[in-house]
Parts: sequence; C-alpha cells; structure tokens
Amino acid sequence: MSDSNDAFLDIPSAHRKEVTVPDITWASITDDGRSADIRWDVVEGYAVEFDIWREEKKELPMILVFCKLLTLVRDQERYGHTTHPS
Amino acid sequence: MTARTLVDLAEEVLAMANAAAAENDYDRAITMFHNVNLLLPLVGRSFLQSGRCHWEMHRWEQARSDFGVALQLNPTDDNVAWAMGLLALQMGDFRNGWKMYERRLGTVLVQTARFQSDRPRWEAGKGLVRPIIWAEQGVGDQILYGSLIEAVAKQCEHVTVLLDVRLVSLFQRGCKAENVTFLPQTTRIKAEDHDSHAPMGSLGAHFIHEFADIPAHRSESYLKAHPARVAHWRKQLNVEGERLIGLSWASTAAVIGGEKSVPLETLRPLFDLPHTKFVNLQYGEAKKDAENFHPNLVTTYVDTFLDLENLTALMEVCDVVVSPSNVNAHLAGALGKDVKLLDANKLWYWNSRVGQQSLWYPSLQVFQRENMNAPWDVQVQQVKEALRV
Repeated sequence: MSDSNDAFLDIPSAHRKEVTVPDITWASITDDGRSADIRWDVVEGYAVEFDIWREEKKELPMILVFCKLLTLVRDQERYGHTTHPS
Repeated sequence: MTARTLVDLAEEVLAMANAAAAENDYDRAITMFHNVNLLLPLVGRSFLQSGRCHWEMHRWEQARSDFGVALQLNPTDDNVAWAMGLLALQMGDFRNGWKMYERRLGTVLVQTARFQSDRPRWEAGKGLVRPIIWAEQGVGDQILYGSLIEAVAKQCEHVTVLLDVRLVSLFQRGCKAENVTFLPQTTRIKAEDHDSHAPMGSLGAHFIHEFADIPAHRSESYLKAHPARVAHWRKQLNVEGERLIGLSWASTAAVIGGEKSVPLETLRPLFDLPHTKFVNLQYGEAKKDAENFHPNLVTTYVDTFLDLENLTALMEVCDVVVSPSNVNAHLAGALGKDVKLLDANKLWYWNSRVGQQSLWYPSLQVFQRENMNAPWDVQVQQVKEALRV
C-alpha cells in the first residue's frame, strides 16, 4: 500500500504495455531533395487516427498531424477544397 | 563408481519421461512416469506429468486419476491443484473446478500482477457494490472473463475494471452497462472509490456452476471496434463482391504457444476457395510467414500485437476469422464475428460447447484436433467445408 492508501495493481515491468504510433516509413526524401513514393495507405490510416485522437482529446503526435495535413493538401489539389470527416 | 539411490534413479527416469513428453511422445512418457511411480510412489511430479500426458491424448478420466494421486501426495502444491482445477473445468465439474482454479494465484506462471488493497474480496450477493475487477492473466483470458463484467455490474452500483491498456477502449465502447469504467491496469484508485476487489479469473466461480450458466451470464458482442477505423479499412481493403477471411495461425503464449499453433502451410487448402481473399491478422514473428505465401493473403501495416484498435477494425471488415487458440480468436469472438477455431485443446474453456458451438462466444465454432499428435489436416478440411456453405 502507498502512503495515500490508494489501491493499485502491482505489475512486473516485463508485463507492462504501452500503445504508441508504429514507426513506419510512410514517405521519404531522396538525396536530390525530391519526394520518393508516399505510402497513402499509411497516411490515410494516420489521418483517421488524427480525427479519432483529437475527438478523444488525446495528445497528438506530430506524425498524425503531418499525415492529416498531407491528406488535406492532397484533397485540396484534387477537389479544389479540403475534406472533413463526415 | 558412485552408488545411486532409488531417488537418483527415479529422478533420471523422470527426466527421460519429461523429455519424451516434450517431444510429444506421450505414451512412451506415460510408461516411464508409471515406472517412476512403481519405483518411488511418493513422486507427485511424476503423477502430475503423467496426468498432463493423458490430457494431451484426450484421456480425461486417466488424467483426473493421476492428478488426484499427485494432489494427495502434494496437497500444498499449487501447480498440481491448478492442473486439477483446469481439468475439472474442462469436464464441466465447475464447483470443484473453480475452487482449485483459485490456486493458480500461487503458481509461478500466473504471478503477473497482484492487487494491493486493504479492501475485502468481492463476492456476489454479499452487499459489496463498488468493486475493482483486476486483470491478472494474459489478454485472451482478460477478454474471456471480461464477458462476465456486465453480470457483475447488475449487482453493483459501480464497477471499475483494470485491464491491459490495449483493451480499454474496446471494452468501454462495447459495454452495455452504464455503471462500468474500464481503465489501464497501471491506474491508481483512491481507497474511497472502491469497497472490494476481485481478480478477473475468479468471476466465473460466482456465476458459472454448470454449462447452462455460461450463456445465461456471459455477455455477447461486448467488444466494439471504432466505426471510423472500420470504415477506413473497408475502403482500403476494397473487397466488394468477394469474401474476406481474417487469418492467423500462431500463438506466442509461454510454454504452450507452439502446441496451439498451426503451420501456415497446413492452411494452404483454404486458398482454393473461390472469390475469397485473406487478410493477415497474425502477430509476433510468425507474421512474417505470410511474405510471398500467396497473392490472396494481404498484410497491412497494422502492428497486430500492440494496435488492437486497428486489428479489431480489420476483423470487423472480415466475413470470417480463422484462427488457432490465441488473442485473435478471443477478440473476434468477443466482437461477435463468425470464427472458425482450430483448437489443440490446451485450454479448458474451448471444451465448453454444444457440438461445435462455443458457449462463451456463440459466433465461434470449435474444430478440435483429435489429440496432440494428430495432424491438423482433418480440421482444416472441416473448416474449408464449413466455409463452402
């Protein structure tokens, strides 16, 4: 028991899990400064995560912000306006 | 030459028998365990191991007999009592089963977490109305016993559930009771916010006394994937007009994972099914088995071990999930998906069924291997036939 008399689960560190955004290369810049292939499946997935995490008021990692911005810019180019989650 | 005692000899034969059992040579192992029992009938470990071998060969009564002798010889050994409890649960003897299943908390294998509180253990019908239910086993067990949370909630003012952080949102979204809060198991709870506590694995003892109690008390479709993630994967996988099967083949569970697993190659006949695509739901090292396996088996970027939110969204898009006994089987079953389970009978609860239908997850069909040495081909063929219908 702690001094504050709280109750808690005593879990060995080996059994503790953390949920983070997976470290996947979804875009890269070539040596001559141009963009290489963009993995739109990952970008769109992370853009969905951005919407969900924002709705749940969770702290937004920069990777989710980048991916959301990328989809907004793409949609503006494609449709002349940005999309918004319905 | 050193003199060997009877105990030395018994230990040697015991080691040889354990080695034979580890190679799935169960009947040879049983003969050697029997020899140890003749040499030195006080070696409880030998009866325990012999009972486990009978279990692998699906000889329940002989397993129970050996476990019974082992327990008589070592009544304080929690490993023996736990094994006896698991077998009793498997055979539907719930009253004895739950009692001995409590002894798991004294074993090394289940010593993963302990709840620190000065409050009493929660018991049904004892006027304790603000319990904390805490997870003490793996994710699969948390999902299985989590099916009884709503039954607890019916008797309480408020229930707090501490469980693996990966499951929190899935449970909260799917829970039909409004007086339940799911929190990561690392959360500290104020003393005044609870009047009792119970490990999740002990809930069954309060509700399940015979097979019929399982469907009477467990919830159904009590996990829910996030609709936006489901919509995303439906669009990404784009399988309009085709059937999508979620596939996994391996368990990474300590000790028994290898025996529960089915080699991916064994599942190749399923790829003959017409108008069918597969999505890789496998986690861990075995996920890589899918590389270049078949063009109709798609692997996504989802971290299928850590990101259970996107994994369940993928499952929701699937028409069927085919899996051995692992976390995926529990997740898909608790989502209410059609699941075809390839079961090696290492875990008691898959035997709680009517015919092939699981009593814990009504949308899950169990295809049980004949024994631990039998090939999987028969069950794979049965699954294939079921998928043709």
